[in-house]
Amino acid sequence: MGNNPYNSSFEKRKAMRFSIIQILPFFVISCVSEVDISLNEPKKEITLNCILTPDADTITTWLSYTKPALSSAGFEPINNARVILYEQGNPVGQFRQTDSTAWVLPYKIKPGEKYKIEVTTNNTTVWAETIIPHLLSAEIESIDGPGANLYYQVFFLDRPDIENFYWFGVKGYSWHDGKTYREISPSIFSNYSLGDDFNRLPENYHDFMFIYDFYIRIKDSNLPSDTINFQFYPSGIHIKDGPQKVFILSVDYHLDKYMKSSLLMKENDLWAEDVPIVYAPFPIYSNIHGGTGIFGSFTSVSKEFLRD
Amino acid sequence: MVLKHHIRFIVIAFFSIAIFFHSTAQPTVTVSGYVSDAATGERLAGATVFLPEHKKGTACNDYGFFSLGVPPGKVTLVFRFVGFEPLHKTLNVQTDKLLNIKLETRNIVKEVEVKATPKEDFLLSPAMGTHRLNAQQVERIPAVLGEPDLLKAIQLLPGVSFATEGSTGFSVRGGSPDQTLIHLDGVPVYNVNHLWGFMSAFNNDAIKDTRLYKGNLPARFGGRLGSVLDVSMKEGNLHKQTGTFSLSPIAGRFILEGPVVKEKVSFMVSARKTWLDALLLAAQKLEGQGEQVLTYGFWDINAKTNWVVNPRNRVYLSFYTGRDAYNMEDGGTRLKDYTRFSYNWQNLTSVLRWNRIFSPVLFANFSAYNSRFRQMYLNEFDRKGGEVYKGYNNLNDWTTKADFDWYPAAEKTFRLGYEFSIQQFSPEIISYRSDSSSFKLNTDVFTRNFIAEIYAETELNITDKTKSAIGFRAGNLSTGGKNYWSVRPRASVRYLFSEQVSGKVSWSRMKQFLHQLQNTTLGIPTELWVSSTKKIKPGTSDLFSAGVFWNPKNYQFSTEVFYTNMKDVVQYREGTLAAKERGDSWEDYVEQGRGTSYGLELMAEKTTGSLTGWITYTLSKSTRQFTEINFGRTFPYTYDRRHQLNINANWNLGEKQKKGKTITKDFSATFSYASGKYITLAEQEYQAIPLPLMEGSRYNAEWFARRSLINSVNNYQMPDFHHLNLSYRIERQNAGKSYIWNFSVYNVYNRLNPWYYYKKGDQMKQITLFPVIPSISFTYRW
Repeated sequence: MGNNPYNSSFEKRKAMRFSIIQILPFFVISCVSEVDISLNEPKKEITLNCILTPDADTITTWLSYTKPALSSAGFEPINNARVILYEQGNPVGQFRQTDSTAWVLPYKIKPGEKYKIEVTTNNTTVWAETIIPHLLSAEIESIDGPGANLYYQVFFLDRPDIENFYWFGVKGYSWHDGKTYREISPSIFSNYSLGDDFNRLPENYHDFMFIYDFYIRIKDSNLPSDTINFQFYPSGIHIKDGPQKVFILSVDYHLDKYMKSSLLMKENDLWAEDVPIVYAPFPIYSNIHGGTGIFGSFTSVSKEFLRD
Repeated sequence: MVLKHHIRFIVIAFFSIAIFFHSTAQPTVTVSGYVSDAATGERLAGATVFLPEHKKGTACNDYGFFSLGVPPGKVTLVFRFVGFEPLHKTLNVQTDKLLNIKLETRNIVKEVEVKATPKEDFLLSPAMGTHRLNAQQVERIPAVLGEPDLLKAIQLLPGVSFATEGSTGFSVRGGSPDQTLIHLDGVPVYNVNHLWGFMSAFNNDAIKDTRLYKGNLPARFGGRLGSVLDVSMKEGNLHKQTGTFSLSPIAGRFILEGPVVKEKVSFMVSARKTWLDALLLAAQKLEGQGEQVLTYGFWDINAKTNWVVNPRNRVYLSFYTGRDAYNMEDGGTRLKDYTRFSYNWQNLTSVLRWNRIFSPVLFANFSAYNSRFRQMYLNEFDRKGGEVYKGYNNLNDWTTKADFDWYPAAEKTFRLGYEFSIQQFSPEIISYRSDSSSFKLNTDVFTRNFIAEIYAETELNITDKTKSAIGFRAGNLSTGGKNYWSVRPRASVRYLFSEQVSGKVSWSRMKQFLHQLQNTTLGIPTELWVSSTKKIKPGTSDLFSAGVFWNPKNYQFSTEVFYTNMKDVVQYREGTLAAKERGDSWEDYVEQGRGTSYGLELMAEKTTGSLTGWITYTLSKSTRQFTEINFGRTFPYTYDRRHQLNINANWNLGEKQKKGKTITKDFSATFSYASGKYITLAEQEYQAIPLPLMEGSRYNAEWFARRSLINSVNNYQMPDFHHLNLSYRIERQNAGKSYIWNFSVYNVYNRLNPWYYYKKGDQMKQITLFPVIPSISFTYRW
């Protein structure tokens, strides 16, 4: 596979979609004119981004204001704000602004607990809540794969008493233009058919039937049993370029919706500068009351692998 | 089971009413027959028959047949139809009589009379929301590139809105385009677009008459939630051969009709083809575009034959087929880096009809038809064909139906009928083949439907001033082992305030078994037709309308209010791309939800004089709500246009004689205004953070650093749309031949109406589709 993140036929099939976009302009090319327009400048909103995980000792929250879509300026940070974290309704600390839009609170999150964040600035309050998922226990093993890279096998048991959302991903290294990058595997091959197909395409590569973009998402309500057991092969990173770490994330309801809508919108945006035959933007999920952004959480299990 | 009992009860009740009226009728004889155009033999649907001494009458049905009970003895009947000289016929009838009435075209050319919606439909009938257009009216409406277009003309009527400029896709009273049943000679046409919706599939030369029903739909129509566009083709001139040949900047068309056996068998053939493909090739050669070649073309053919077997039997056979094909090749003669993309779609409809007069009081129309629609796209990455990606969508509809018009007593009409259909859907069949892999998708998503329906409707005179129409349509859709039974009542009441003013109210319940999935903000037809299934229920709607109608001499004024409630309407989920490959059924990618629309329509029409035309204004609102779209919140529907104003005017500039030729001149203008279209557009951006594990990744890092803020679907309203179109027509007529030049200017004041927006860097760009466009077209008639 080398460092090319995409199988060539997969790339070509994606390219086919772009051909469709070329249909309209060609025969109206003589009747088209471009006009620069200015959009209205609506009232700026507070953006709050914070993802909690028990793996970290410090919680970071990013606060800024929204900006007009056509502005090339950066995002205006929110200064003079009071940012409080609540655990099970009780305040556990106030965030401190460190750098521009970043606010930090040294605190270790506990799995299974409910947290609320509240930001007050200029007589405006925005807030959001999340429930930290419970910890997972999983087995992750490696298998020698094609091109001296590694396959992985994961096995774990779902908790049927609550609704769970699992996201699988792999981080590793890729060599590109003379440099080595540490990054997420952009595509994952697998035969696992119970993964959400929102980011999945059919594929026929080394007996794998599917290719997933960046993650495999599993919603436990779609599973026929409590067991999750499958193999997958990460592409776009190579074990010879550095260690690979397999992650299983258990994310909360809000982060799950945010991640899925973000990835869907990312793919949609490939068409944004073309005739919108297929481009149909939609709102990305947000659970911030009075503002926008995301306040979510996840727990994770991971295992690192090295090539001998 | 309960529903089946209801259906049985309603059928029994209906026939009981019919038998009651028949048994209580006064002794009469029946005069029946056909009314037709003396010049061509074309039947005149809606022509009236009146018995002045007894102040009663009737109207011809859709096939030009009438039946009227008269007292025995000497009677005088008056036959009328707009644009024709009235015919007075005195008869001495002692037994039932079958007539063949021929009306002559009105010769008073100084008094132009437009064939508008007849008074019987407009004022007297309980039905409401009905509009009528003919080919001559459509021809006079200024159009883009000089091509008269029925579907663009329809968009000038009240309650009809368009998706985007230039598109033939239209919405009636807030419904989606697939909620309008479009019939061509009684056959549904599933794709009515050429040139990606910029021209319709209807060749205006082949059309005789068009009726748009909205609000109160006759029970003989079903299968759609909102409205019906019923287009009738010409039958073919039974007396002499005539033809028309036309050229416009974008296409050429002709029609030829005439008798095969005079007065017995006629034919009509029309065809149309664009030379856009030749123009594109020439333009590309001139610009020297090298290895990339684009072509696009379309054609369509209508053909019909009409056989008058005997006075009681008539048989028709008609066809329509049309195809659009787009092809792009990039790579020249190279073997590597070669790409070819082709996309085409095709309709094919065929229908066999038999009209039979069983008795003076019973007329029947039997039809059997097939309507097919196929779309195919192909992507080749290898000049030798070693790597091919192909997809296609198929729809095949086989139907047999019968319609009976029964006249059991004077001024009593019952319409009854049945319809049996088999529909096959093969949506999104995808195949891919290369040297290293191959797959086929969705071969198991094939759906076969069976639809069995009956209907009945009648009109009742409750008092001298009050008339009602009641009816029902009932039946079953069977799909994938699931049955959907339904009864859909229709009811309307008309109250006559005076001889010129009436008030009407109506209610129709409708069901829709097919759905058209669109994933475009432009209203451009990239549609996929799918059927209701075990998972996807049929849609349901209730249409309520009320209105006041005033018909003084030479004018028609109407005010209507409407409210439509829709359930189980279908839409793609957020993030579903139309071109996405799927290993699962399309059912997993759609949502069903609710729709609501309401509004006010005003129309004023002048039907006679040198100046004719209409002004319409519509104030309306249309929304949708789906649990999994827009976070479950209600949002404005794509076709929601708060205000619409349309003015259509035609001045007949008179006629003069010069060197033995008759020269007629007309000047036409249309002005359209509509509130801006709603689109989903991000006016703001917000700071985002990488998704878990994506920190430091090269892939789309910039995208994940900031996001577009869209608070709601269809959150942004584009600027208002308006434009003015003018045309000037000169017709020179001599010895039965006409030469017609049409000079038109589309978008006279060059209004840059936004077609769509897109963001490029830090700038928002607007694309305007049609600036000012002059054109000239020529027509020769003989």
